[in-house]
Amino acid sequence: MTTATLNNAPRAVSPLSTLFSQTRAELTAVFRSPGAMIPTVLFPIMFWFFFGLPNAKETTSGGFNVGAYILGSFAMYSMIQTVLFNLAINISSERVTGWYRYQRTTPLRVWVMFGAKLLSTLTLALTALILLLVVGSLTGGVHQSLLSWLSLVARVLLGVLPFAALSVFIGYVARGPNVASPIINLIFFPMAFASGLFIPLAGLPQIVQDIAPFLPAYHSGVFARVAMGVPSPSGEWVNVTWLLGYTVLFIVLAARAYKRDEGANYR
Amino acid sequence: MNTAVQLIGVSKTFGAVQAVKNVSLEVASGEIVAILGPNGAGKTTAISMMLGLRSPDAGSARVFGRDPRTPQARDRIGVMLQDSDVPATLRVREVIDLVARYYPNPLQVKRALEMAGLEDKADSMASSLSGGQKKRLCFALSVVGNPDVLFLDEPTAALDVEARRGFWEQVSAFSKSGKTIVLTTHYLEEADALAQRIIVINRGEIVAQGSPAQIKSRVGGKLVRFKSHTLTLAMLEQIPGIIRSSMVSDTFELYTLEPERVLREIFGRNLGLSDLEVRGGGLEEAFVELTTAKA
Repeated sequence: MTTATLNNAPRAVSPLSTLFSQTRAELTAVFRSPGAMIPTVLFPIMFWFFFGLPNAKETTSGGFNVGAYILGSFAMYSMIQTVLFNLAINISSERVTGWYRYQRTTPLRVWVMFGAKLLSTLTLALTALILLLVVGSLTGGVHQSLLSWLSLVARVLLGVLPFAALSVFIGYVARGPNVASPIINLIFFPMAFASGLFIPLAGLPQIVQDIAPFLPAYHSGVFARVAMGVPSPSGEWVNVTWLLGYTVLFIVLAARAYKRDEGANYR
Repeated sequence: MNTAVQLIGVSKTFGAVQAVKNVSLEVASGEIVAILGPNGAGKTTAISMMLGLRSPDAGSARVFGRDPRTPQARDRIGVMLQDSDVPATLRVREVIDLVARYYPNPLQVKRALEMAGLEDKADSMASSLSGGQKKRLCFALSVVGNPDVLFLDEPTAALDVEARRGFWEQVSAFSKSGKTIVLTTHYLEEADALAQRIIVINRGEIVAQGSPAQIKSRVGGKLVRFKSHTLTLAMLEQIPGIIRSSMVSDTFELYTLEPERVLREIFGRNLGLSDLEVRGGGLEEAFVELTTAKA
């Protein structure tokens, strides 16, 4: 008889081990896609060489090291970019290919499916971030204490929260990666620019400076740079409040898009 | 006999379309059942409710007595959906291994590869597979959890004849181990090749069910139509192989599994006939016939 009938005593599947194998598969898939890896890893480092490095050794009028300031901004930019693109593209493509639908017929728990997407995205984002920080600090001579670097990573993780929720929202609204990707490009690059992540706000037109404090990425950037010794102009709690507000807003939008998708396809 | 799958008076409406109307059916453990019907008959909706992908507006679906959405039910089912693609940047072996880990008592990945005939594609990227190979990968995924019930939704819809036969062999081999199989198809030939029982649905309702032989005699035939002034229904009744016949003024319509033999008989009697038409093979027409015959 074949093994198909030789049932061993069923063992319970531990959700944690499934979370691990699911995350590993998600990571394998993304590390094999050049379309995801090139912008994620290379863009921030490339921008550092274009915009950061030429001025890295200078000091601002406020007395801060320009290299540290820009590296703080680019760390936030790198994190937002990876999370925003990766989650939305992953979710929207699985929805159109039917893989999402298939997985829902298996014993895989929904929270494990989402948990794996989040964990793999964060692993990818942290990899890109650490590469940027290593390249940035070595080439630009940016010296910070270990505690400052750790604080930067922690702040960047908090600063990316609204964008994780926004990305899930886009993933559930867009029909496929070919729709999600242009939507994000359209939102992300202008927003990153207008939030002072590429060029410090002081160097931008007055109108942009007036708009910036209403954008989530502005508050993420300010909050992240505190780790690099640049104080928040408004006080950090203002930034945190804005970030949490945007996070709640985008979670509500994402939950509604998820429910709508459920209603249309799974009710 | 244990019941593996049950639909109890289920109905499902999408907008203005009632996809499934008050359908009840039972599939016994170890049974192989085909749900046969034309496109848009409600087959996929019915199977989606058995899988818990859709919830019925009325009635309920059960897998081994449980709500199909419960993890206990999902542990015991394997599924091949229509048009579901796999992650493109994973290798065949990796995808199968990933899915195997969802289940409490999976088959070895090697065994699933063998069953689907994919041994030599194990290290290929899923994206590099042909359409037929992708279907086989989906079959491997559906069996790797070592499920007690296998659901196959239009499993061979996009395959050529040869690939279809190969697939039937794989499914038959799997069913030999005493597994329950529920498949949907719009090919009578496929239902006949695989199933012990066929449930015919059309416009969301069960219109017939029975053994493949019984169903074939009802939907597998051709419709022969012609005009004749000399023929009578009584004469047609003497010809074997005619399942039913009707006459409206001078136009005769008869339904048969063997149109060639029946026509030879009619021609042999040298009766004048004109406007001869042989239609069918098309299941849709057969189903319309069946539905009106029932009414």
